[in-house]
Formats: sequence, C-alpha cells, structure tokens
Amino acid sequence: MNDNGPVRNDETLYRAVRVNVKSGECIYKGGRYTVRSKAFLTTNQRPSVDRAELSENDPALFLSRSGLDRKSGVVSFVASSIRGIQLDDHTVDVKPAPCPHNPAHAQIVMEPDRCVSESKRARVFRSLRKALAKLATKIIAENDWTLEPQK
Amino acid sequence: MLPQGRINPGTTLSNENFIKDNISSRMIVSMVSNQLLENGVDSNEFRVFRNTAAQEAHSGSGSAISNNATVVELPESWVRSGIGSESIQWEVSDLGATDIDAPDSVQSGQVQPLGFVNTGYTDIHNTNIIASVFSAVKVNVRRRNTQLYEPAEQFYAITQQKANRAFPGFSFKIQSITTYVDHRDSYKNAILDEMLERLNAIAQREDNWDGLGSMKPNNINLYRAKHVLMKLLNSVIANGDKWIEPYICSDEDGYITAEWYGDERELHLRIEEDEVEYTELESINSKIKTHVDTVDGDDCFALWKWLINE
Repeated sequence: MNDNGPVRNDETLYRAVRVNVKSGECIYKGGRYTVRSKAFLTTNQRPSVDRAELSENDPALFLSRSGLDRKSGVVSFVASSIRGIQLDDHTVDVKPAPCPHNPAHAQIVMEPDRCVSESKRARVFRSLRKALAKLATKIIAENDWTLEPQK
Repeated sequence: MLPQGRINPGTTLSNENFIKDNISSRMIVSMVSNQLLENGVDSNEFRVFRNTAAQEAHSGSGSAISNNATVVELPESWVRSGIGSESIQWEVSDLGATDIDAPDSVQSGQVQPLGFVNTGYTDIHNTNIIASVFSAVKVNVRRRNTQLYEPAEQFYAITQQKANRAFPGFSFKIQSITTYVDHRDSYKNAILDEMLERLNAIAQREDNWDGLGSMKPNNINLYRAKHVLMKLLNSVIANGDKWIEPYICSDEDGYITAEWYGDERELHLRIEEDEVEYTELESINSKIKTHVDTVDGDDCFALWKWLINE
C-alpha cells in the first residue's frame, strides 16, 4: 500500500485519546466515556490520525509510535464517518501526510482551507473538534475502544 | 359524566366527579392543555393547574374558584392584550374556575403560590371568594415533568388557620386538601452551589494548568460565565424544566465552557467577554451535523430549548 495514496472511505484510522482527568480530554463517568474536543486540539488545525493498514493494523504499535503510554486509549475511525461530518460552510477530508518516522500519518482537514477571517476559521475548527469528539464517544459506546486505556 | 378527552361548555368539575369517574388531575389538565393547543395557543404561554386546596366562602363581591377546579394561568400581558381571551375565559368560566390574588396564607419556604391571573370572570351568583389557595399540580405539557412539586398534606392545618385569619368572618368548609410544596428555590440553590463550587475550582487554575499550554481563566471570564449560567438556570427553572448538569471547564484561551452531552444532541457554550459562542451538534442518520454561531449572553434559553428538543 502506497503511503501517499489517497485515504479510501473504508479505511480505518487510529487516534489516541488520553484518559486523564486533569487535562480533560476524556471524561469517565457513570461507566461511560465522553471524549471532549480537547482531545483534538492542534496548533495547525489539522488533527492527526494514523492509517491502520500502514501501522500493521496494530494499535499498540501506533500508540508507541505516537510516544504515548498505555494510559491512553486508541479509537478507530472509519474515514467515511469523518468525511460525513457536516460543518457550517466547510467539508471535512482526510489526507495522507506521511513523514519519515511515520509513513502512516494522515491529517483531518477542513475545506476550503482558507476562510474569510481567522476568527471564523478558528470557530469552525472548534466545531470540527467537537464533532470528532462526539464521533469518538459514539464509537467507544458502540464498538468499544480498539485498545482500551489502562487504569 | 365527564366527557372523554374534551371538556365541553357547561361542564362543572367537582370533587364528586373526580371520585365517581376516577378522573385524575393529570387527565383534566391534559384535556385543557390540548384544547388550548388546538386553539393555537403556544404551550409556553399558559399553565394549567388543578386547584386542590380551594376553600369557599361567601362575600358580597369577588370571584370564585371551586375546589378541584382546573385553573388556567396566563401571562398578564397576554390577558391584557385580549388576544384569544374570549375563548380562554370561556374555558375557564365553564370550568368554574377563575383567579384570586396570591394568598397571604402561605409562608415562604413552605408552599409558594404560583399566582393566578385575573381573567375577569365572575361566577353566576357573584358571591363566592376563595380564601386560601395553594399552588396545584404543574402540568405535564409536552412530556415535561419537573418533579419539583411534592405532596405535603401536613400543611393542611396551617392552611386553614391562616385562611381563617386572612378572611375573618367567613366560615370555611374544607372538602379535601392536597397541597404541594414548591421545591424550585431549594432545587435551584443546590444547583447554584454546585456550579459556583466548580467555577471556584476553575478559578484556581494557573497558565498551562493542563500541560497543553492552556491559559488560566481571568476574573472577567469567570464573572461573565457566572452571569450567563445563572441567567440560563433561572430561565430553565422558571419554565419548569429539569436542569441538565453541564460539564463546566475552561478552554485553551481561558474562556469558560459549558457542555451538555446527550445521545443525540449536544450543546457547547464558550462564554466570551461580550458574546457567547455556541455549537449545536446532532447525530442524523449516523452523521454528525454541527452549527456554530454566537448569541448574546442573555439569550441562551433558546439554545436550551433546542437541546431538550422543544
């Protein structure tokens, strides 16, 4: 599989979520995990995911490559579900972004890439993060973690 | 015999009817509510109560409300404007119910009268007044059940005593009494305490409190959040809704956020200096749809109504 090839709709994408009360990325309450938008906070407004097929379909390998410990969990998105997110005036895509130390790396992007104003773009990006968090919460509730965080 | 599903003009509902026909107050208020809704009255514009603590006496003037009558409460402005008042008065008068001022007989903290609006109806003999009326059952309009009222029959004696004092010279014949304690204030205060405790904890944060470089919230942001959330809470309680506890936090820019997580709908508020950014999230056919915009901090109640799908 070509690490520069487009991300197919049926591809599985890994994302790590830190289950850490202090940072508030994911709340565990009443036997239920709620992922918060903070779990998708990035400075470049392009949250990262890893393509499972290029990570040997091994979430543990992905996690160690991300430099995170087993207190983080791994959620598996399907690319089409991310692309299905409806934002105000924007669409969502997943694009390959391989780097030397991680050929599986891909990014979630908003299109159009540019916006009328920075503040509006920041606002839409915050809503994208919330949508990704809601999607992750739903996936965990319905399909469980791909790799459950150790308590 | 009471009509099924509809209350017709001329029907008088008395205690006997309720016993004989085993009609629950919920059924009555439901029937009245339905009629109002059918007549195009918005459910936010009225409340219907079953009066369960009325006492009758004679007087040279005034109006009457029968024990066990159903009372329709409308906003004063609504009644004053005369919009639809004819049909509403028709409903009320045919139920033998009208208004009185909130009685003095109720002590604060025990039972709060909800207050009745004068519809201008005077009963046929023009001789009855009601001495002491407690608030009655809150109506379940549109599946709303706040559970903020609890039966408290032990207040009966207090009621009668105070009613006697309030209207000296009248004799009272109490047929049946079920009073309801209004828990709204204590309910609201408990929520407020928890909310303020959470905001106080957030106020202790320093820059990079989360290890992700987030800013600490400043006093202005905390004050604003307190104002906006209290205002929303007041509106929710006043509307008779049950409060849903939000997850309150501060974000990377130091603004206070309040997040409500439901299975289908989520509402996120980011309370900024002069406006509130809100995001509505909804699952539709397994797809997530978002809408983000800003609103004035005093206008968040409409967002709440969206959250509870009203």
